[in-house]
Amino acid sequence: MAARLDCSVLSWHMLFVLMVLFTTCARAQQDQKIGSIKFSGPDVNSEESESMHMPDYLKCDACRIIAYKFTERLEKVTKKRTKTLSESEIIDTFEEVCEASWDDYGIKEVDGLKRLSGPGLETKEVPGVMQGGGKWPYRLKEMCYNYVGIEGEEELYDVFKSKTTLEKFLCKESNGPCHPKNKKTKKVEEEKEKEEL
Amino acid sequence: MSAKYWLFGALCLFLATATVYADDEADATVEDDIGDHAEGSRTDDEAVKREEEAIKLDGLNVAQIKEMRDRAEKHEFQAEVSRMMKLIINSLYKNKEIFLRELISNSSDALDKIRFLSLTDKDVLSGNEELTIKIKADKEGGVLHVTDTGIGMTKADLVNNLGTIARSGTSEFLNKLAEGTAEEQSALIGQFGVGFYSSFLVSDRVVVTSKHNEDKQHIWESDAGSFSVVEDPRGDTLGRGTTVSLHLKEEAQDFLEPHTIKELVRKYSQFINFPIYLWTSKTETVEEPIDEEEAEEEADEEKKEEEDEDAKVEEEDEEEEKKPKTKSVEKTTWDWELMNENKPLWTRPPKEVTEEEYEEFYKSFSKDSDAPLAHTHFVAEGEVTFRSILFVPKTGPRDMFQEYGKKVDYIKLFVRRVFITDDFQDMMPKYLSFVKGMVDSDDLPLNVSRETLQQHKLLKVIKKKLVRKTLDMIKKMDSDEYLEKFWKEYSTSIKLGVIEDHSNRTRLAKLLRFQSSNSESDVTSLAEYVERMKEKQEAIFFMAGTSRKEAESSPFVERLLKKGYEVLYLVEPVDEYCIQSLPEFDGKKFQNVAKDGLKIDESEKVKEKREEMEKEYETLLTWLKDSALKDQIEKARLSERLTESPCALVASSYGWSGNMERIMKAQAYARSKDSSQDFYGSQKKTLELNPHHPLVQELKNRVDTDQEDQTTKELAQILYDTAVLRSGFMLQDSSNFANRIERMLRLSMNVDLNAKAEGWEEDEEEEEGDEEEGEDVDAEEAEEEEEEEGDAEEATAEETEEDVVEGEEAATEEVKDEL
Repeated sequence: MAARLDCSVLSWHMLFVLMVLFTTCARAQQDQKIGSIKFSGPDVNSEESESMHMPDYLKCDACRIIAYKFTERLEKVTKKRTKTLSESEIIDTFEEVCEASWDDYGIKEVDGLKRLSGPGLETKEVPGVMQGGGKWPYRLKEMCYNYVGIEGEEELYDVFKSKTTLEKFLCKESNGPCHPKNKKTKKVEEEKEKEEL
Repeated sequence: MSAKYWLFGALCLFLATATVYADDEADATVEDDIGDHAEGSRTDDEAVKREEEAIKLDGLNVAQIKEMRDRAEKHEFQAEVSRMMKLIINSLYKNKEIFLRELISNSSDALDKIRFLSLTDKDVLSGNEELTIKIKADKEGGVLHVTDTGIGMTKADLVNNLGTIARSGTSEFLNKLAEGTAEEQSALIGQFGVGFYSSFLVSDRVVVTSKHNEDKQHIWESDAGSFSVVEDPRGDTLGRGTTVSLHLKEEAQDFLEPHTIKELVRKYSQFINFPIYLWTSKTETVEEPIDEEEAEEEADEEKKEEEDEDAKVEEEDEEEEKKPKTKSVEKTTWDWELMNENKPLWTRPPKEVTEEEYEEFYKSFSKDSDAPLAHTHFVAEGEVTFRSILFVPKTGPRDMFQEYGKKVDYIKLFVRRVFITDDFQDMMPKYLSFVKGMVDSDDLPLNVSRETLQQHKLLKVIKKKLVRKTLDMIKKMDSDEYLEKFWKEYSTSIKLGVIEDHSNRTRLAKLLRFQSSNSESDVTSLAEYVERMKEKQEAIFFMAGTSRKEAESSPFVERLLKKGYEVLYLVEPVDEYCIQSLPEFDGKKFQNVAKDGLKIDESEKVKEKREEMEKEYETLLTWLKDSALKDQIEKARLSERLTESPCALVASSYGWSGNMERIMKAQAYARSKDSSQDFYGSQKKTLELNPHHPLVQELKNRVDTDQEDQTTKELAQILYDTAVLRSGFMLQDSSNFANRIERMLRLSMNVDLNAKAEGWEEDEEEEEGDEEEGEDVDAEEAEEEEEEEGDAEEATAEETEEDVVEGEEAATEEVKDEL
């Protein structure tokens, strides 16, 4: 049932980009435990293909991606200067991150779990097929602006300058999506079982 | 004599001293004339003379005036202008006094323009360094002069600005003007830039003398019927700027009284950013030289005035000098008296400004007749320091959403107190374009432009802070006032903000209000909803429809309401979009109750019962999907959400609900072949059945015994059709649906299925063509009916009888639906 729906979605959304990532440093042992490497993209459910928003079980990954992007960009901008950034530079920096393409990111099956993959996440190194494009860039952009809006550009910049990492501040504190109390996961197996039912 | 002369001539004050003396003789002649007819004469002959007098104050004698008039170009007003003047005169006659506000406002705009130009080119001020508005009342002549040293008008400007309306939306404006209330009208003319014509509310004749840097001084003159323009024979007397001389009607002479003028300036123009002076007399005891003659004394006074003329703005110590050893004498002195404070309101500390002052300030700069709903006054510091006052007007612009794509805002930009532009277009995001206010920054260059990168960045900082401050201001509004006034007026703006402004979404979501099953009349905030949520309720439930009635009588809310869940009713077209763009509120997701994914907390017993029933109904559900409604539904299942309706059509979680389908299809701008529309529009839905409904139970019984029965299939089809309608979707094939319903009606009322409608007899006689066509249709119908009848005959007599009963029930259902 759900499989059929997904197919129709796929055919309609030509935007979907299938990216096959061959990574040499495969974590062979773990892979064997899970099974052989799949060369098809993960099975996406309708939430993953259609929803405007980031599914709950991917929010932790998404948050870490955004924190990574913020940090990366801020490091680049502040690299060759001693003066702190001005307000407009801070606003620009965060805007540039949120407006970036986010094309390097997508969903991947890792250790039997639905995960996001791309620069800044360990899942990038796991061999497998990542499905990007579609609504993923929009969802990441939405979350990105949401963090900027809620926390404020200057506050985020202050965190960056402090000893705390943005990843810890945004994702791992008690109301962050990676905090054990909030963290949700989705097992690929469970979903398949449900489909079969 | 010459002292009297000074009471008359405001313009003369702008003549160079030499000219004044030279003209003295001529003036005397003119003045005699005035004396004769001060009371106004009614004879034709005198009327002609009066016309000739009309511009006597310009310091010309009758002969000169006559000559000038002969040379003047005569023009007719553009038809729209004539219509507008009539409208203004007819509609604002009770509110005449606004003419002064409009003239001062025009003067202020003209001064803004020249000051702006002077920022880059100091030379533009060489004609006249002064930037002021001066008002002078000539009681004897019945003339009021308003003079500014603004940008002035060339001859072409005079003809165009004061004779035509070249703006788009003129007819719309005229319609609004004709319909509006007096207050609205008075605000409208200012907003549309035609305030000048309000001069004719109080004047028989208006003379405009204007000098622009790029042209000679010209005189425009009109009696509201037609107008003429001529080069000023006196040459350049103004230096630069414009004098509007109003020859007041008999009944409007009160506007010459200093206290009336002061009152009006205080009421309407106290926040004009240029000094406004009134020519006033003061009686005081002064030391006068003993040895001087009375006449000379007056001459002295005259001289003093001239000095004032030149020096007033900068210095006033001349007076001191002019007092030699003298005697004490009661003396009336004339001088320019400053009438407005002229210190921009925003430069004062917020604590020292009263509510009334904010209100007056708002009215004055926005040309709005209503007090604002809220205001905020702040100083922002950081990379760019600026002061700002922002207001939420009582009503938004009328065409706020008609031209939503266009960037418009009402934020005036000042740099170091100098007005730069009110058309920057990028100070507010679109959804907040209704906010009015000003920004004054010391850190921006006077020739600020979005195109310059560094400035662009500073403007971004300003914009961000303005948005935050605006949202703060709205949030802090008194909750009753917020609901009654703000939400009523700006709900759509806030909802669009939720959709468009990703970074302020969370703030904006707190401002949302929706109708809800919790209250018949009051709307609720999302926070209040979450507070009332049941213990195990995971999502915020909402139902979208065209009206509250439609939403609350939808089959989708039946069980939820019965179980005591609160459901938000989204009845505006933008609502469903708005909610969909919110990922969550306070950690709670949103659930459209008309879509897949609805989870209702149920007891184990109920769950077990349903699972049992699912098995019982399996035949029916499969039959519906694979046979009766093949290709029409995605699948059929038993419903958790129905209690009273037999069935409903549920959209997939990310598909279109009936409400969304309706809205999307109604989008005028939707491309005819939009693939996403096809995709969503043709997406199959899930048919949910209510196993407790007798119709569904009966259907189950029938399908269990005979899956091929045609009437049963028909029944299933009609149940499906009604579910489509009830669930807010559109029927793909309404004529077949109508045929089915008619057939049921025939059965239920025992009307022969083959009986045909007989046309009007006369029609048949008169129009044979029609008759033939009619027969064709009849034949087709008969064929169809025969087929159906044939099917019916296959069924046993007993079943047919039952069928009638079923038909009745279904028909009743349908009638209910229609209602």
